Amino acid sequence: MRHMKSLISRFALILPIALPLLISCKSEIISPTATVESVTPQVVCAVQQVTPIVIRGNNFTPLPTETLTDNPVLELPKLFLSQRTKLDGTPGTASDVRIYDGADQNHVRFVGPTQLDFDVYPGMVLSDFDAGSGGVDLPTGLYDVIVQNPDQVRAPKESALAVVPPPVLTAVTPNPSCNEQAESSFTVTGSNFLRISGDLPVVAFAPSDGSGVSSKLTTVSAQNCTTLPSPAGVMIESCTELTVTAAKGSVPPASYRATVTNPGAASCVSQEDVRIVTIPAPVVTTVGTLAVCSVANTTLQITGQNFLQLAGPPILNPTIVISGKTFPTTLDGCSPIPDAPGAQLCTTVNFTIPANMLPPSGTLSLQAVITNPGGNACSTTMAINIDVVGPPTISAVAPKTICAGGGPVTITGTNLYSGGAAIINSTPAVTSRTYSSASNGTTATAVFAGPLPVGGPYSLTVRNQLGCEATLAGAISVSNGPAILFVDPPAIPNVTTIQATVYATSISPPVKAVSIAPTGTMNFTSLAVATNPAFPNRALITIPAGLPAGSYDMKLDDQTMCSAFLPNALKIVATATLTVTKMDPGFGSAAQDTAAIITGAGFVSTPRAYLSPTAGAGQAQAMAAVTFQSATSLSAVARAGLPAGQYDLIVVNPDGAYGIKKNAFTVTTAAAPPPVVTSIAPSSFVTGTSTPTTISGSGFRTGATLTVSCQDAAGVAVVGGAGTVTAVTATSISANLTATGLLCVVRVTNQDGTFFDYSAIGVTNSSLNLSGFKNATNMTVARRALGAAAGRPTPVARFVYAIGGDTGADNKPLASVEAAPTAIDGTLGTWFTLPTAMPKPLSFQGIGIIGRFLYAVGGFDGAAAVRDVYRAEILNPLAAIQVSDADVRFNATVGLGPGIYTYRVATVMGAADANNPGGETLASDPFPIQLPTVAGKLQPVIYWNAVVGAQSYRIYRSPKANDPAGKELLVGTVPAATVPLRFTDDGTVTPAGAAPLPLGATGVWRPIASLVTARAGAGVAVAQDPVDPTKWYVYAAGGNSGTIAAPTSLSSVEFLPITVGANGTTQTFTTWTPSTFGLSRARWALAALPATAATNSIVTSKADTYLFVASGSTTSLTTLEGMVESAKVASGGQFTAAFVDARTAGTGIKRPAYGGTLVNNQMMAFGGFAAGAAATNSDSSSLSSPTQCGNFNALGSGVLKQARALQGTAIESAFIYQLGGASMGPNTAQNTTEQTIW
Amino acid sequence: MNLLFLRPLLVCASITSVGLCPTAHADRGMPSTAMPPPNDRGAPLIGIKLQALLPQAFSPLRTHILAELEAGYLLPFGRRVLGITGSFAFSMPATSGTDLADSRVPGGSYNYSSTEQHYLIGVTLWANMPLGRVVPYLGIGPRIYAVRTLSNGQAGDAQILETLETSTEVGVGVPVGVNVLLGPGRVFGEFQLLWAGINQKSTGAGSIGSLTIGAGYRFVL
Repeated sequence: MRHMKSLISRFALILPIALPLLISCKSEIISPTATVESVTPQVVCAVQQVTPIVIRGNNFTPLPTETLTDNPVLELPKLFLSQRTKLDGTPGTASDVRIYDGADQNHVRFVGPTQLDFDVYPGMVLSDFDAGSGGVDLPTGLYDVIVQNPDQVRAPKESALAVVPPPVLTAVTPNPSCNEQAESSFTVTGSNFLRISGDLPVVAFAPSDGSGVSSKLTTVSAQNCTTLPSPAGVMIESCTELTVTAAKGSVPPASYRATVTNPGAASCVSQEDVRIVTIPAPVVTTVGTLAVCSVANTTLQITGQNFLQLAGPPILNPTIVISGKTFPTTLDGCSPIPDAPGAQLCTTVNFTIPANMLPPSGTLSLQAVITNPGGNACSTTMAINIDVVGPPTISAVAPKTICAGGGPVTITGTNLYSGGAAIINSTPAVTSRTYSSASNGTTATAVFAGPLPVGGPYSLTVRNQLGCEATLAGAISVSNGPAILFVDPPAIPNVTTIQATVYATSISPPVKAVSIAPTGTMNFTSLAVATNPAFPNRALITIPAGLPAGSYDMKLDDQTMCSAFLPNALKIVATATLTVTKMDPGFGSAAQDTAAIITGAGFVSTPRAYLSPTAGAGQAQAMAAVTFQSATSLSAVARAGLPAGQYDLIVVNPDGAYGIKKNAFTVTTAAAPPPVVTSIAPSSFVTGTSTPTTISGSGFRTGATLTVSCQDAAGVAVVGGAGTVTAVTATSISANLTATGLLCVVRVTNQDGTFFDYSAIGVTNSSLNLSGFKNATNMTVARRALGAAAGRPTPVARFVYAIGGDTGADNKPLASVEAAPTAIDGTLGTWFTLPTAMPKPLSFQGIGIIGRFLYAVGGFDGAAAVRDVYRAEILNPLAAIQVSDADVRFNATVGLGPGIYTYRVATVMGAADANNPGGETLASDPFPIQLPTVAGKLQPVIYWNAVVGAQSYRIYRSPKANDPAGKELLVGTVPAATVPLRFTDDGTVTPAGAAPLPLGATGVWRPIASLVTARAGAGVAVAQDPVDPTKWYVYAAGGNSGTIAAPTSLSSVEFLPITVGANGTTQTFTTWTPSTFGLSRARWALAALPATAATNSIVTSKADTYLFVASGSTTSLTTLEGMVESAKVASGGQFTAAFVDARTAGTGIKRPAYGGTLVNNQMMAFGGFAAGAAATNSDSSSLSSPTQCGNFNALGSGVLKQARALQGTAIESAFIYQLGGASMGPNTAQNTTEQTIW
Repeated sequence: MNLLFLRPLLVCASITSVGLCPTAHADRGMPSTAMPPPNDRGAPLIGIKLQALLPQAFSPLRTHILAELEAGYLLPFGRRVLGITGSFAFSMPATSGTDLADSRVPGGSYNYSSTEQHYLIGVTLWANMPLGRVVPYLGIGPRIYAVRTLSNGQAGDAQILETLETSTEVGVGVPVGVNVLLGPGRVFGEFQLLWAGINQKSTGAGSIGSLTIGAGYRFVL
């Protein structure tokens, strides 16, 4: 025992010494010592773009961590930026910015022990470092770059990186400029133009309309520069002015948006919308011989284009130099230059030659130079002939009386100058249309056009030039008679026989004869004339093909003794100068209207389009609804009733320029219409795989064949597409199709050669991967939780709709609706807001579409879920009324001046209309009326036929003469009870306010039967009755009856029966009916996706529809319920059995608030919320049966370009669109869109 | 070798010096624990053992050798039922990973190797069952781990240089075995549970516990 005690006591002595030594050691890391040698680049811009930076040095050492766990992670050396100096030279904040190095964003990259790369990117200063989000931009300044290995030892490189701001552009001068004749020099002003070690910024001009490519200018020098804190070896200067040059002709006339891009890696671009306009050189179109009065100051006019006026002050006009003498000028016919404030381009230059400056008589041949004002100015030189004339005398005028419709007058006197004019001094005075004199100056012939003021005797003045005149009192009287106002159309090609309308006034009906003669001759040729007693002031004339080109005078005879004359009434054009490429479709039926697209080049708003029999017999028929889309594209309608046969297509611009496409259109008999394809099922094919296909449409006949033309993503043709027909009915073709590439056009050709091209079907690989998303056009408003749909006003006009939603705040929903057209290749056009908004702002509503009717179901009004259901019709342009007739009335003082005025008429339906109660329809085709110059005013009158159910009609007109089509505004309203239905435009009302509804517009959103249960975020889908094809059902599944912040998820399902009337023009509904079977789990913000044989080949029966109700949210938007369940639609709208869990594997869709589709036997979920933030990921699950789907895996090529959740999803043929949605957290929104091919 | 590792050596030397106190009687020549020497005062002992370290039940570390030295005293009570020893052990298990995805490194993946040098210092209280020549026993006692983790790797063609991390952890050891009296001491076979937690940056929060199985010889002086 004594020994034990000794033992213990010795041990006890050591223990207090040993144990503390053992336990007190902390964890310590020892890494190789890192050093930083260089940072490249040394100057960056931290906004707008991601700039990779390379750090070179030694011993950069990552550390494998968590090696004893299941999830080892590599910890990279940490990177810090410390602001040493601000750009103004003051000390920096010196607080470190750590660069986010999470593997999800790859902003820091380990290349090796001697190199680390990192990104300088927008938003890199994070507030939530763990999530890698919530960042602001890196402030400008000079930074130390610090590398820290895992041992926490820092290796700095001082003043290694300069962060500079983007350039700010204020102005580019001179604006406008002319670059046609010489190199142009511009001064660019702004701030933050950087000169970095001598390298200057790049200035570029990009066309403001988005067409064409940028022109890069040469930066010559920079001025007003200040040196900024810079890394060693670099000099950074910030300047406020640049001088740039553009080589002669390198900047064609246009409006440009100028940008400045700083040099090197600091290559941020100015964002301001600064415009610069280059204008053409002045052009003189008419000079000829100018008369100068020898005894008076004479103001001469030179007409042309591009005469520039600068508002200053002072106002600067062009100068004209003649024989070394400079004359100041004034300008007329001016129009402002868009994007060049204070500048105008004018068409007439006036300058005054003083009396007695020139010899008293004779003809002088001189050179004149007109130079525009301002910098970078162009000039034009032309020969100018001047006749110096003296005052005339008048001895006699014959006849003493002429008809009100005009006619020739012979004047006898002396010194009558052939370039002069005769004036009847009535009220108002009338100047002769043409005037010519004999070479000895003793006689002259003046031709007056009507209508002339009846009365007299009036004095007659002969004017050689202002100041050189003579007047004979009581010389001439005007008697009653007809007068020709104008001919429509005024320019006609001579390649075909075409009808035109002569508008006249003061006619004693009926018109007896109309004849034409080459201008200046009296060789009149009679034309065939047709009259309508209801419109005695008009005559329809037939102009034969083959007339010589040139200008023609017209004479009209009525039942009086007077004839009416109109000099230069008609222009015949012989040479085709426009390019007309194609009319698509190239076939139509005699029994149907055919909507078509005309392509070519050189079209000017608004041309006429005619179909002329190719065989030559018969006359050309004007096409209807001609709409100018661009200089290369028109849309038009070939009306039913054309005789069967081949037709040439003729397009005529307003100035008479025309083009012709031979055999452009074939009209088949009513019994043998050309084929029309409305749909192809499936719409997506696995590449290289022969697939059974059903083609639906009309006009198919035995012997029809298929051609499949495919292209890749670049639009290059790809071989391998083929189609073999197995069975044909009038409305359906069964075939085996093989597709390759990315997109294919399928052509159905009947044995008579008529065909129809259907675009497009999508092509995928065997994994059914998408083609990859690409960015599309931005909506006008950022929206999340919006409704989306695709619809077709006509078979060839397609639109995508964005309906309601909100801008990120639950309590601020939107009522607006916007739309964008889709091209035949799926490309989205420019979004525009539709005039017809929802009756109330709503978000989280579901959209279904049946035919041309959109159904908006439920939603959230900012405070609560609603039971509201609305319906709107996509308006049909082919159902719009047309202007049936037009007339013109003469008034001495009240009316419109000369020019082309375009009219359109729209119907306002009565409140009882089932489709569009109280709503406006699409307007008629543009109806242009050309009014000539008359002594007085003209009042157009337009007529149209009544529409059953209308309450009124709205008349639209172009605001001023010669406005291009498409500018019409409201000029008047006519009640439906008016008899006859017509509108007389007396010119007292200026069109203003509302414009006609655009193509793609809907009628009013009509409230229809309300839901049984208020639902926001319900899954909405439509399905056809399996037995009665006229019956459809709109389903609302699940949803949220509470608020967005405090949701109450629903599991109930209800449906609305719809009956589609004949031709699909009407849809009647009853009431919402609760479904017998509900969902197994309550959820909202979910997709209800119908599977039919048309879009999912795993459904074999064409009559069956299986409704898949996919995953959704529960207690919050970001809380996921993964259930996916399905049920089969039964006749009557109920389901054949309860919903069953459709998932054979996995837990369903992986993220809530996704965009969902079900096509090509794949259920796809795009985006959604991941960890509370919108995601770019997409997943898909393959259907293994009509009721089952497998696990959701990452969708090949399905990554979105933008992170999205709560976005709108729309499908149009082979294209899937993703619209808006939250861009980050739940309370954000974006206006971007993107699309892919499935 | 730094101060960290001098400390356990000092401790070991302290315990050893106590154990070598010449006041005890040796076990040498005693054929059976049933026949303790008269006026038994107990006996010091020195042992050496070699074990296979099997950490797989606790961590991704792989099997390695554990070499251990021990010194202590058999107490004279109850035919030497109780004993106490101090020990020093060393092992060097390792773990590795291949083709671990990481888009931030060349090739999009990396390999790593992590070797852990374990220096264990412990005190064990033994309970013996003297059955004659065969003496089963059970022990328990604290263990101090001095851990040195050496990590390196490769990502594509880029080398991940070696980093060293050190820490000290506290654990426990529970040996179970059988002594057989042989010659001047006892040959034994032993099964031991060793456990300690670890939370280095390199390892993550885990365990460096292991099972060991081995044999050795204890000189009973």
